[in-house]
Amino acid sequence: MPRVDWPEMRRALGAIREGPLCEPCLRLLPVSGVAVSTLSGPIHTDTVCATDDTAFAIEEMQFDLGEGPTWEAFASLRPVSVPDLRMPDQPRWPLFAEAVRKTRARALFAYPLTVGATAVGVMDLYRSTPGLLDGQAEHDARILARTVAAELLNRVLSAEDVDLMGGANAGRPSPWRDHPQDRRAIHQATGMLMAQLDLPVGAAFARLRGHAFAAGVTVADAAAAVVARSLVLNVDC
Amino acid sequence: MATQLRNYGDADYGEAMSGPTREARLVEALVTLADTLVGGYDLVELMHYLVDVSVELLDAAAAGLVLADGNGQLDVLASTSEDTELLEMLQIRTGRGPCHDCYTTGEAQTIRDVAAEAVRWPQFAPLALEQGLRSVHAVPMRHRERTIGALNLFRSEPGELTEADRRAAQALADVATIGILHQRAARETTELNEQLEFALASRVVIEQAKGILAQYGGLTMDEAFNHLRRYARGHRLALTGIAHELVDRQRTPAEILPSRADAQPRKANPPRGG
Repeated sequence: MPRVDWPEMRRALGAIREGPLCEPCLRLLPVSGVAVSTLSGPIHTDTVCATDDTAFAIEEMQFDLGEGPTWEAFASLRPVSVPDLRMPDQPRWPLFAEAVRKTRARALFAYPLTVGATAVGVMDLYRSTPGLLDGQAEHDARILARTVAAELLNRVLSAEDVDLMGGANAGRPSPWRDHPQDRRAIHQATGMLMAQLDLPVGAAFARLRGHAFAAGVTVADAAAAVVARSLVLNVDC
Repeated sequence: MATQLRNYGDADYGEAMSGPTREARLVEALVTLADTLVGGYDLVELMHYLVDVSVELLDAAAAGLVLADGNGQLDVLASTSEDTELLEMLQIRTGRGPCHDCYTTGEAQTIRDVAAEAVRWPQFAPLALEQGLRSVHAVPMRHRERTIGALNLFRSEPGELTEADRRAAQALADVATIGILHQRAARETTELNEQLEFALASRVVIEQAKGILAQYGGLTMDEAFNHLRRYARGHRLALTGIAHELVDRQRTPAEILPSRADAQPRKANPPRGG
């Protein structure tokens, strides 16, 4: 059994409860970057925090492509380790494997964020060198993931009350989100396409995603162009 | 336990209740209760089964089941008769009686003669006697440190249950307790999941609704949101609810926006994103 450095761990767990979720994990773990995302379905995805652009991009590409270790960790409720992201044959997520090559990430470790049998999201750790996490880091990551999960669930559910009341924060960026970029424009663009093309929500989202995929841009970029009215999608293309 | 249950020498049981038959039926009852752990079942049905099978298999004339809710408030969940239900409710209301004591202490309670307890329980004892019930054995519904209720067995004769019956009653109560706790945990998880899903979706639908209104009325996202909020307040409706209806296309954007003429088309002059 690996030995936990409890004074350090306690400091990290305390920091998670009080502020940004990602930074304390990055400080304690031997990884290059950390991201935390909420997931519940293909449309309802959101990155809560990311310690750098690569961590954010890894989340975004998996949401855009609908595949990758994050989705697998979320679906299986088990940690998923990818010790070498550049291994040639990765049948579980071919599109993601292709996309992630362009980043500096070489290894990815996805931890499901669960409270009891409830999965609220995933914590992703990436490293710029290949290889597995050692037993100690693996053990620490599980402890951290438990606290991040509880804290995240708490924040999501308590922020929800504010939204329901139509109060000051309704429709605004969530108070618990500490990464400047978010996916609001994707949802706004989806709504615009619904009204413009007279489509149900699923089809409008698929249309946006399809366009981004064909154009080789992120769904967020395509959405930003739609919201700015600089991109108009037609019914039949 | 099987060897214990085989030794029914007690004359009370009569010839029809021979050892092996009782044992087989008890095992069957335990299996039935344990089956409730697997998949969907009705909690109320489970509890009625528990009291019925207790009277059928044990030396008891009546049985009742009291269970505490999340706040520790007791309620009668099942009983073999209306009279027994009254008896249980009286104990809950007055906070006094063997079943109530069993729940609060988490220990089994045996009252050999109710008639001798008139001073201790001035309300419970006369009512029980009136119903022809002379002795009580209350079994805690307990899992580890946590007591969630009590299974109460009433006999029409003074005295106490045999050791074998006491063990059998506790075994039935134990299995039912696990079933009840299991179902509660499953329900809490489902509720939490639904709540979480709604919380995550509500942000998304508000943004989607803003997009619908912005496109329809040629508005910026902020303007669209202000219209949405004004409409919600004016009609005393939840913002999220209206957003859901817009996205599900049960409500048209024209209903939210005052009129097309008021909304200024912005297509020529692209606004900033929301």
